[in-house]
Amino acid sequence: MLGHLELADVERKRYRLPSCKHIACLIVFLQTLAVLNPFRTTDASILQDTDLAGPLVFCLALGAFLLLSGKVHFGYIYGIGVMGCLGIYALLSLMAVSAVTLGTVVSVLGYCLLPMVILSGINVVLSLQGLTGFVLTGLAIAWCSLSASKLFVTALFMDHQQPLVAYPCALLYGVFALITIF
Amino acid sequence: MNFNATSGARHPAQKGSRKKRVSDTAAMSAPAYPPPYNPYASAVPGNMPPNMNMYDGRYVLPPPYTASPDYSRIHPSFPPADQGFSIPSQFLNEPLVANVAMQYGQALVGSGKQLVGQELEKYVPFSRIKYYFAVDTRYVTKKLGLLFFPFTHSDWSLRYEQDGPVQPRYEINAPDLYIPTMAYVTYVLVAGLVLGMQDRFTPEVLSIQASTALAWTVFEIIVELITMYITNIQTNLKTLDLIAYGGYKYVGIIFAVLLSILFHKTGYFIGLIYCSMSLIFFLVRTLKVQILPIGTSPSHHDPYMHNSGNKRRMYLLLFVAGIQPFLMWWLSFHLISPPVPKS
Repeated sequence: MLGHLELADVERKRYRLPSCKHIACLIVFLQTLAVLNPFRTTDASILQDTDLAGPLVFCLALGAFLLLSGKVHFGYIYGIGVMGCLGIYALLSLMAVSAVTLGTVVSVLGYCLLPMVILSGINVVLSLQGLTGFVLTGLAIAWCSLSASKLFVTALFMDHQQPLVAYPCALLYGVFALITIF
Repeated sequence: MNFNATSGARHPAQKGSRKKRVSDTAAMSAPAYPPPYNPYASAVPGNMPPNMNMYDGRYVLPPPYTASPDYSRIHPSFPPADQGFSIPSQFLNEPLVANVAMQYGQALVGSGKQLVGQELEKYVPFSRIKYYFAVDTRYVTKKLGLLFFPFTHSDWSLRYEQDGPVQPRYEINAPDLYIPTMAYVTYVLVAGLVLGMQDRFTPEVLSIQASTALAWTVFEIIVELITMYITNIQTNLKTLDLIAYGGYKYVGIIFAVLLSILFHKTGYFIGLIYCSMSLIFFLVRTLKVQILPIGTSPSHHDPYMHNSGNKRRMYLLLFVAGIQPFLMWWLSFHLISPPVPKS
């Protein structure tokens, strides 16, 4: 197996390194955890390597959960995702002083989609149309947009603009929430 | 391409870097093939094949072809000093050539991107637009407060720096494009929400709302521009300023429509009337500074603003401020729900 090494040491134990496939999954998982805590202080180097595998996984997971709720909305997710990413990329490139790349925007927005995926997972078992549903939805949107805006503000060195970035992200995730609930 | 918001100060630096880049690529744009790449000739460690001497700027004749007979064929269309580059596939396999080709390609891509940016700048002035997005949270909250309650604000003048107004970040009275853009998008989404609550929602409705509102805004801007041109009024107002001032009405529309969710028709009309009044007050006060001549204006303010045509300027001001309520009503009256019949 690729990456399977045997090291002979003094106790003659075998150490097995994880395979490349496992390393990739681990990286995605660690990055997800790192980006999703909105109260943790991040540094700008977190976005040096733009990773598009995680966002793709989350979009597919969102579509899968919606499928479990009886809604086939893959086209909507793709369309809203593309338009939202383009819109936020345009806005950030106008607002930020440092250069913005589309890969960064897609990566951040995709990783911060995780609370929306969790919400759609909850939607499979509970109905979200009551008061608790609205509260949960609001919390999920707030969590998504706060972490996304925190990442953008940190990576692009924008000062005093986090709520301004959070608002369009909240609009985008609000549209995702709309297709999740209704 | 880094576009700074203070575009005026940035241009000399951009031009300088552009000059630098042009001088870098000047060596590459020599008509002869291959490009004479001086740095790479010196970077190659000693043991290089004889035909690699082509990379000097001077077209020196290579040493006798003892080691590589393959490269002895001279391509007819090349200048006579070039020899040995007639077999591209073998040629590109050389590691040095691959390096050079990649560097050349990357530099070409960079200069190509810059060229595209320059061409695009002629049609859509990105550096000008960046000025209107140089906002921060404090400015946005204060401006929204001003849009809803402008009656107590006293100083409406605009500070200028050397070539243009101060960035909106530092000057509360400067127009911005962040609030109008966000308000427009929110208006489309709130329209979708309200129609959804009345069971009148289809996805086409969103695009219909968006394009209708956009068309009316464009129409309003064009009418204002034509009016300013015909009446020969010269002001400091640019088209983007007019777009900004025209976009502030969406904030009032959103407020009125949200009120209509709770209080139906009465709530809608109360919200609409209040927002119209405050928007008219806000626009009259703001544009008075820019359209009407100030009696004791500072010398740097605008030496070209004529003092003639005061009446025309007043009419223009009232026209710009006065069409706002009508447009606000026109863009939102179809969104309100009829009052729920009491059973």
